[in-house]
Amino acid sequence: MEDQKIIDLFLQRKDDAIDQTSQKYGKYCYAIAWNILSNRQDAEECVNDTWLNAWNAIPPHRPERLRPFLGKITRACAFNRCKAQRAQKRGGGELPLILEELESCLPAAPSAAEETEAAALEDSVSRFLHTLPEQECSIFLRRYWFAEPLSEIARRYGLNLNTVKSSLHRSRGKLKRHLEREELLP
Amino acid sequence: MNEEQLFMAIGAADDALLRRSESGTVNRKPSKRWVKAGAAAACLALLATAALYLPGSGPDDPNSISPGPAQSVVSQTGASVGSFHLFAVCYAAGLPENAAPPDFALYYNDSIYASRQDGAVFSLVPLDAPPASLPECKLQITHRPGVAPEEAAAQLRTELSASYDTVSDSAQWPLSGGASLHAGNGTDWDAAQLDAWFADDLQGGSFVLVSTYFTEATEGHGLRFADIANTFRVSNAAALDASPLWVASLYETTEAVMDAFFADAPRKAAALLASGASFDTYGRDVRDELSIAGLNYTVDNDETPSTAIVSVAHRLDLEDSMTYLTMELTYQDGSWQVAWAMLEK
Repeated sequence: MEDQKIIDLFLQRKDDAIDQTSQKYGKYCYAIAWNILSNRQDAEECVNDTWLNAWNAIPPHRPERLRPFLGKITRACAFNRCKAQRAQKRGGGELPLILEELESCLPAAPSAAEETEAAALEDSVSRFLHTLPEQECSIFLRRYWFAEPLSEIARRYGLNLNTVKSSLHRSRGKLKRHLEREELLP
Repeated sequence: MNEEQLFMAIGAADDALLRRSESGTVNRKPSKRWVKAGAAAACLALLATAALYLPGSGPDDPNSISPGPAQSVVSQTGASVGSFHLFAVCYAAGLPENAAPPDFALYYNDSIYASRQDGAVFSLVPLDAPPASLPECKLQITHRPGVAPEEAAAQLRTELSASYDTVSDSAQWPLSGGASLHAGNGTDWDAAQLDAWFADDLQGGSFVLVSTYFTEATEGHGLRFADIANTFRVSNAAALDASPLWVASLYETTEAVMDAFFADAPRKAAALLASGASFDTYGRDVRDELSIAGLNYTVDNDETPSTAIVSVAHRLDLEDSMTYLTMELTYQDGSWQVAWAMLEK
């Protein structure tokens, strides 16, 4: 079913809105959740939370495309769940490694008192992504948006694993310099 | 800002960029490989780094290799990375006179193991050997000219079935690719165990690597022998001279940098580091704890390279998981320099 028809089901508060969404995007959302959580039950619960959040968001929100809209909800749900688990020392999937990699974009000793405006940071990162060459940007997003394992990224693009690692290393360096120029880092 | 905030901020990436990343068509060129079917360019480079050494060191030298009968050892070469000895042995036994002898290279820690040559059998044995009452711990490598790996595996399987309680088609420590076997005499702490791996010699035959140990040594010598076997590479001495100069240079540079890295002594490789190079070490000399389990080299262009990525799989003190020393090197004016080196899990 086309996205617009599914969105119409949400707007009309039809019962099969979730069924249709699940049929079309269930695997996609599950894959995002799994990459972050690496636990079947947690990933399934996360996907169910996605449908609930989507139901609560539409209306008034009217996404142009469901796929990225749902993906972002799933990603946020999975991340929050993973954070809670890490506090309890459970699970983690790729996320601990990913957060460790992103640490390299930040100063060695961040001030505990600093608060960064989330919106300003989002805007800055979004502009940064547009400065990257296509391949480098895609590899960066597969790793740090979709939380894909390095081997999966290499397989997806027909690249050597070392090439993926090298690309990510370069991108992280560029991101750090970008954030410094935008004075988002001390 | 912390890494979690950064992770969430990345979540706001444009839909168009996310959609583009899913197309999976960014780069469909096949991965660059050193070795193409029928050739052995990668391993040529391993040999090209070391000067030829003619056998003749004294019989009391535990690291000496004496040529066996019938010119079984054509030559041997060696280079060092700290206490690691890069070894290459050339075999000619069993081949027609005009055939180019296959040879191999591998990494082993010569502060832990000594090499032996008995006829056409190359062995590594612990310098600190377990008591004679226990099954011997050793890694043996033999060449089977004209016998393909699968056939060699089937023959060995039959032989082992007569002398071991159980034989299975996967080694205790399987390596990526290739056939392997495991044979065992039970689970008692001193029960004999055996792992075997089979490598194509690129000339219709095979090399057979056999690791023997006892149960209690599975995660000691058993694991180290598997790591050594994982660094095993077959090469072709006849094509050695044809390898371009940048190949030898890349390996020389890599080995010098590896030694400096694991020794936590970047000054030893200062001339090989590019200006502003980042060099992230363990913070201490780890060479005595080190087990190298494989090296992977990738260049951006086989004919006129400008960058290379080197990944050294290793573990410290027999820890369960592998760590990777990953380096990027750039090639300019006939020499390689390291742009960055870092550790990754």
